[in-house]
Amino acid sequence: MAERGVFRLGLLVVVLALAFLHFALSPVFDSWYASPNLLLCAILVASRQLRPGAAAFIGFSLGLLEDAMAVSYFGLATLTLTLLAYLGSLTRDLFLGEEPLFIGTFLFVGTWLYEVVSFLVLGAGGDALSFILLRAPLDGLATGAAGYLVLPFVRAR
Amino acid sequence: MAAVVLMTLPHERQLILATTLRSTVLAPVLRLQSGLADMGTMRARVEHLRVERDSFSVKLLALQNVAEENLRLRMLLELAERGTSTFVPANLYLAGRAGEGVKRAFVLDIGRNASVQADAPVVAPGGLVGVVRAVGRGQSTGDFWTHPQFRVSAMTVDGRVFGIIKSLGDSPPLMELDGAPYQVELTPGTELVTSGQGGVFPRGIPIGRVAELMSAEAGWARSYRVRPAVYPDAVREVMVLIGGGETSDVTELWTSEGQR
Repeated sequence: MAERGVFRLGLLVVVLALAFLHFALSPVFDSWYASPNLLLCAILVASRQLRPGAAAFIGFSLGLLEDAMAVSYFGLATLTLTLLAYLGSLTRDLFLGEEPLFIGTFLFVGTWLYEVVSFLVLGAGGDALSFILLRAPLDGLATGAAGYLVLPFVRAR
Repeated sequence: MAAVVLMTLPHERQLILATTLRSTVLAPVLRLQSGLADMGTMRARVEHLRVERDSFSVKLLALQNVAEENLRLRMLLELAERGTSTFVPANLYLAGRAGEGVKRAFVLDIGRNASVQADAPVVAPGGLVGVVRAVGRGQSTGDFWTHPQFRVSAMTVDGRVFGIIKSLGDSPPLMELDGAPYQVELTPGTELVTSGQGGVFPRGIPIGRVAELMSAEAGWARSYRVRPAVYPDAVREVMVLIGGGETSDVTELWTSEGQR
């Protein structure tokens, strides 16, 4: 029981740290061609450890913060991240285990999906094909790598 | 469900919620973010400023006498100081989210503490940058002209042609001058400035230059592609208009005489 409490606390610390770094380092990441989405990394990693309701709550809370940073299309990040967290948690019934390769792929797909949905909904300018096939996958790879690094801290014992 | 409710909230409520979150939960993060962004730009500018300082100190010596003479002459002629608009300087930080090819929003490091109000125009030495949307105590949020809902009334410098400027949403970002009269055709390179109509932007802020004709609705109106004076990615230091701007004319600030 105590071990479970320690694990939950560790997960919370990792989620908060990743969220903090996501917002604090965004000026640095903006200048990179491919950058990890640490917020998404936090949500997806947490969703693999939590029940759908709790995962959706984390997705909602962090999505709200993401929306607060850019006032246009308010609520879009909240909705998308809540859904992704919920769906991410449901994958626990489909895929067992926390293999690094699986988690990397899971984060890659989640990031790619989030960025492509945001791009299409925002109607953002630029070459759509290049964004969907190059930029978003590179961000997904970077997020996967970040997730791989934090995995030892959140893996259920 | 709650996320959908957030999306359907009135825009004013959304702004209040966003401002509250930024000034509470996100406040320390924003401070750190500003610091990191400053560090990056400061490193590059130190050397540049050092060179500038040396040349300015020489110029300053020569200008001091001219300024004193100017003041004496103005007092003699009983002329008032130029301009009624008041600008405050601010650092601008890009705000955005995944999936945005072109930046649409920004955060300024000044707010109510510097008398900034919502709908205050934001300008750079090149021209129009955007408008403040939500104001917090020590920071504010705004939209670049690239925002899809951004509109500004524009005119040619000679005041013959008027139209509405909006973003085309492309990358690199371009503008569209919509609703220009059909009878007059603008040539590429024609400079466009704010017209002062609409009650938000004062007259005379450079917006951009006409690039090409986009479409002509027969006998009715023309629309042009416009190359902007300021690109969102290239601006870090801005000025925010905090008083007397809506009805004033700031043309002289951007003319060669005003910049001298």
